[in-house]
Amino acid sequence: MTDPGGEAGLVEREGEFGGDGGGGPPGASPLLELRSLETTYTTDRGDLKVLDGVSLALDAGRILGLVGESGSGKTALLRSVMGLFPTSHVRMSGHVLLDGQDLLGLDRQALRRLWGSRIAMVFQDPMSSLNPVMRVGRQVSEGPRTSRHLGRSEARELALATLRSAGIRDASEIYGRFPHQLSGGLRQRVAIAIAIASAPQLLLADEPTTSLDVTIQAQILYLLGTLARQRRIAVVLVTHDLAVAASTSDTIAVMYAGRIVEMGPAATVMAVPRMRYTQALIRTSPQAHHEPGARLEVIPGRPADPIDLAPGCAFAPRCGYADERCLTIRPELEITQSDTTHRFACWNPSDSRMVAPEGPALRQRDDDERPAT
Amino acid sequence: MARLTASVATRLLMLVVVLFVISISVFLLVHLLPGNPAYAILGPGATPAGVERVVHELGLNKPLTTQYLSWFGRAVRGNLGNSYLTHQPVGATIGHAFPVDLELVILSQVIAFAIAIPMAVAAARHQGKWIDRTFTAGSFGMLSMPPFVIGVPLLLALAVTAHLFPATGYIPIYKEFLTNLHEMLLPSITLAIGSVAVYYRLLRSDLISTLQEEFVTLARSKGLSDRAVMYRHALRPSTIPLVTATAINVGSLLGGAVIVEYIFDLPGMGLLLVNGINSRDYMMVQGVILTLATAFVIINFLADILYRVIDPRVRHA
Repeated sequence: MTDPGGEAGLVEREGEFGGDGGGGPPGASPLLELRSLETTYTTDRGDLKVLDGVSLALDAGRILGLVGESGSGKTALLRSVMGLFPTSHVRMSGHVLLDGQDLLGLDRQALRRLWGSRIAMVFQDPMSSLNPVMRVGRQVSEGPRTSRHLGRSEARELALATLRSAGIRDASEIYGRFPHQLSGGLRQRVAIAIAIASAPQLLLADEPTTSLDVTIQAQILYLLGTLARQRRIAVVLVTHDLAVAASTSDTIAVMYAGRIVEMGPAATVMAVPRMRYTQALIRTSPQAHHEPGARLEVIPGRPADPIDLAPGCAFAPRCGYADERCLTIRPELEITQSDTTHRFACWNPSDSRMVAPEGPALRQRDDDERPAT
Repeated sequence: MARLTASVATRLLMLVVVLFVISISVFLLVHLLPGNPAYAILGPGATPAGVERVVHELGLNKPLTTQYLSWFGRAVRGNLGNSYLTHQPVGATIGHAFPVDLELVILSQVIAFAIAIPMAVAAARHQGKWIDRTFTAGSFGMLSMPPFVIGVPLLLALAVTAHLFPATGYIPIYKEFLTNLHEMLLPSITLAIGSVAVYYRLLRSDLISTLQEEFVTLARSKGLSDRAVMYRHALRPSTIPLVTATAINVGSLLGGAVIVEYIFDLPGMGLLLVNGINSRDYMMVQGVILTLATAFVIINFLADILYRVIDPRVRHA
């Protein structure tokens, strides 16, 4: 177990956190770094570029909320980091650096050694991601048994401890159960226990709370936050729900048509979204409407078809602010003048005047929110 | 546990009802056969008076319901009557013959699984590749060959010409274990071929869909080897339809066993049945069919219990 190290890390983490608003400490290399990552599925319809030059960095102990509509490339990003695809018709280029090591050049055997022990996944629906005919305890213990060559009883002890740290109190009773005998929340806790059993550095969570009801959702998000801080696990939290990302993440990255279109500290992105798509997402989320009975706003049109992309901004066809330039030239991720951690790709961004006066207050709020999440 | 007991009790009750219905249909079917057992017993020189006497002796002049009730009354107490032809007790004769079928069917299924499961695993892992295409084409071939088409060339090539196996002969398994296996191997393979094809096709398609399941992706993401993912995670859920198929298949296997016994000259139920029908030996035919039907029902009953072992969702449902 790495708990002592985790506690030390927590203290150190808080120290850094006071000095720096959103991003990692300058100079230190991030745990996960993607550099111009491109992923293409070769299909019968033609090549499908699901990731189009994604670059981002994530430090240990931090949570990155990855937000976007279905088909925006969120899941493809997780799969690309993992190198785990359901088909072999995949082409990748760019760099996936885990602790400085490029994973793109690794063969399957070498990748498999990373899976579980350094990178782990949590899926959306624990009902379908847990094996229905295997006792949950064994599903937790088999990872460490393989990756750490533990014996049966050692693996059992570790699995029990892991189930407890995933917030399951009567772990020894749950250990012998089958998935269908557990509630949805417990199942997702088991799935998280499976993911952290081999003490990974990076946790990729694909919509981990979408299939759960709202109270359970909050508990699971709280658990992910706790694990990230205590065990210094870097978490990529994929969600289509901006509110989920905002409440849990340190950083939010908004994806559209395989690209990151806006990225920055969670509170900043939520308070002063610059890119028009982000803005639309916030405006259309149900939480944004305060008047009862008011019609929900929708973003017109459909998500972009990655097979047939316009040369300019992919969101331009649906954007009310689009002009000639938006349709012809693709905007790149730019740094905002007031905040070096906030970047967005937009030719006609929303007004940034509110950033300056409210900036420090936002950071203050960010700090206050952390213990609550 | 109480649920399991209740469920087993319900099943047993159903078993009794099913066997009752079967006994009636078997009885009617046999008595609908044209011909009279008296002619078969007396041979070509039968006189009307002799026929009259035999019919009276066998009670064949009594109403069918009376005949049925007296047969069924004795059958439930384990007495299946005496053969019209040999005057031996039918139960004892079946007692010698049935183990031959049982062994043939069990051995053929063991062989079928031993071949079909690795084939299906390999094909599912390399879906669409040459190995998958070869196996799938091969399984079509196997499906289209009934036992009498496979058995005769096997017998000629491996037993008559190459002398690797005995062509005929049978010694019970409890007397000489290895000799028995040697004798039973070729008939079992003959009977297994069709099952291999059925199980292979079923398991292959089921494995392919199981491999798409998210829990298989999760198993991969734990860093397990392909082998562990396949055998520990994918295969077990996929064996559930296999159990169903096997239980249903047993019916046609018992039918196939009759033919295989005939080809390899094994003293099983097939021989009793064919001889019984030819000589209108009602008692023997009724006894044989009732035994086979009981075996079929019991095997399906066992399959239902096996589901509970394999699939915990059924166990706790």
